[in-house]
Amino acid sequence: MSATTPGGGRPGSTRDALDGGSHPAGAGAAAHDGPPQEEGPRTAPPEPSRGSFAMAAAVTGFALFLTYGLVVMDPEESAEGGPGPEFFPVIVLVLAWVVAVGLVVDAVRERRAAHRRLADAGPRPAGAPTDDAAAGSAGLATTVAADQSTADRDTADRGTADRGTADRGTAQREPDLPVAPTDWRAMVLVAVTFAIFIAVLVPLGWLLAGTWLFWGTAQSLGSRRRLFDVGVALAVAAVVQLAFSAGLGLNLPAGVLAL
Amino acid sequence: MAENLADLAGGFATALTPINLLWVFLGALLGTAVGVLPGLGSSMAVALLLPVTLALDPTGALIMLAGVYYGGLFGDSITGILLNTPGNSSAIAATFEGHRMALDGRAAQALATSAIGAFVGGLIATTVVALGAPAFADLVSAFGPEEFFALTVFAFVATAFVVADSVLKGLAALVIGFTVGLVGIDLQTGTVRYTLGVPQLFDGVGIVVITVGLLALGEVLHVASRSKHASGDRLVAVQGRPFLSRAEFREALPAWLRGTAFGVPFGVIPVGGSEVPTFLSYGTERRLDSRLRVPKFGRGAIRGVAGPEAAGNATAGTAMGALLALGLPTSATAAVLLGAFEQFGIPPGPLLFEREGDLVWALIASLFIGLFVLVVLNLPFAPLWARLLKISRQYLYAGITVFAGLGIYATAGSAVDLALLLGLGLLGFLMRRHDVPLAPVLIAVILGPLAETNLRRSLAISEGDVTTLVSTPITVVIYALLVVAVVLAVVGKIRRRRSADV
Repeated sequence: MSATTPGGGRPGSTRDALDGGSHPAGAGAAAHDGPPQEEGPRTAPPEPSRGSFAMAAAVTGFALFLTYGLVVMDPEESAEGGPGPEFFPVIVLVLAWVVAVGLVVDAVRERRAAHRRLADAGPRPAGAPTDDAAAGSAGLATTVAADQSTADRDTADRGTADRGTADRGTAQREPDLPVAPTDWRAMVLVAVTFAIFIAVLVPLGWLLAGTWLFWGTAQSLGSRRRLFDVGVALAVAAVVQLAFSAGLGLNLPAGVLAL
Repeated sequence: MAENLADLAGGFATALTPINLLWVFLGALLGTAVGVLPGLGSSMAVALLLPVTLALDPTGALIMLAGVYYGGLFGDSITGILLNTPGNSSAIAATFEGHRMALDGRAAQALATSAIGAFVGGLIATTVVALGAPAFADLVSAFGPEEFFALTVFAFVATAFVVADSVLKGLAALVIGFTVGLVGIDLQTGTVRYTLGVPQLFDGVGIVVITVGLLALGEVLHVASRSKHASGDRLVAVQGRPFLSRAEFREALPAWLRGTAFGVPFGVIPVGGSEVPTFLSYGTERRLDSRLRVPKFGRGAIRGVAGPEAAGNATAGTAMGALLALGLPTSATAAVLLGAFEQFGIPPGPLLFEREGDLVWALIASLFIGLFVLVVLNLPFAPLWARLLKISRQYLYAGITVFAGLGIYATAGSAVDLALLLGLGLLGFLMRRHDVPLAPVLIAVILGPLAETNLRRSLAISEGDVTTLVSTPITVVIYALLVVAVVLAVVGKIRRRRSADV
């Protein structure tokens, strides 16, 4: 029983919270009360895709890591004979570089195709930010950088894990229909919240750090009830602490509250 | 065969103890709950609950995870039918007609068709596993390193080719998985590799960290980045009797059986899960339907729900068999489960039935029990489950984040693992954003080291002669099957593309 109290307790407590609160919306729709975002950019053509460049960059990063690790490796002889510890990494490394180059080529091609589509679709509305500089500054809630993966999605057959959340309705399946803007601010805020959680977990202890993590994530995702959420977060963290420490005997840091 | 039944009876004796029944029940409950929530599938349910189960004894833990495994598959179709948002890729095919049925006022029938379909598919597949897996394991126990290497190659190529929309993206996912799998001390020579001098990485990156990071935290970040996407979907209310009339049952029955026939073989083929068989089943039902005088597809056809749903669970059932007998995960969820086995120091594979017979048979018995529990939980209570969808999204994902951070810290107790978790979460976000599949990463992380060991061992025995890799009939058969699988996958993809533009 105790094993699952955190899992079981969470939905329970949030549902209670809901009943007391005023969010009538379903699972997906609670965040933003403004007019539906899809309406805005519907007529605008998609931005040139830089999506595959990001993936190419990531794989290149992995390729560099593989290369660096191979250079600094101090291989020891295998007792069984045969290929040594650097054998398999070399195979992966070659594959990694091939894939990285392939992704770059793909990205360039996609970008050209997107440009062509853009040219066909006529001039793009002015003032639409185009790159990560706008997105990366992240302070702007109103960043309207069009989802750069739009072009990806157009060509993609999209049978991936992402499908569950992305594939609502039929509108998005049609080519050249822009999707709602990417909310970089919320995404960065969640990541930062988690980073802070890592930093304070041991010094402050689970109860405070866990409360922060729940509260920060809920706020980042657009919850409007600051104080009420603190209560919910504290309750969740406390239930988890009880269930895990008392029930399962797993150690969670007590932090300042232990003193 | 009789021996199997005796073993199975022993398994039931273990599984039917009150405490183990409790674990199955809890697993089924939690699995359904996570499956119902949009965007969360059974792989994430297993990943999130993995740290919790480490505190249990192996039998209890694996029994509970088996409940979660099937539960996620029952739950995700509820969301698909009522909200048009399949919880998992395996539920997409059943969503087309299922949601139409719901809009047509037949939500209760759609849910019942899906629950019974999942039950039928799972039951037949689990029976196949119980009867066939030990013989299969005997066959496999003759495998040498060459054969195992061939199997891993099969898994890599098939997942990269089938799961991804482009082969390049599938390969990118594999590269990422291989790289993460390389971190740590090389077991054959003791060489330290890719640790950047961090002592916590000498044992490699934990599979729990990888799955929770990529699947759970990655999903939270992805959801955050899309929080401006207002969902226009409305939850369809469920009314009326949750059971099928005799006529409806008779209509659905052939589709359930045909779907199961598609699903059973696909569980053993590592093509990344049940997406392919569900779409094959959907396409078949649709073609059969178009020959009728009054085609029902497009207006909420019961067979369009029955077929894919049975196919999905049948795949999951035999995938469990492949995992137990071969040690080969054929889907992301199976890969996570394999990680769970390894956490307990019980590597699945041909020897498992000999060494851990009691545990395996208890696990198989609890798969049967889980199916019964799930059909009871789902048939009458589907409308109740749908109420889970009313939880505010902010609290839901905040809760998942807390649970992810907690689970990782509780198992590893180091900030290094939490930092890795965040890094992997960001990576998972990036991959989701660009439609790079996650299943090949998990399969590569888990099977990469196995492939390496077997490859090096084969080459050590043959003294560097590469032809040793195709020197036995079994290896030739495996590579030939691989070619067939890739061809089939391409055909299936074309069919799916055709059937997807409804």
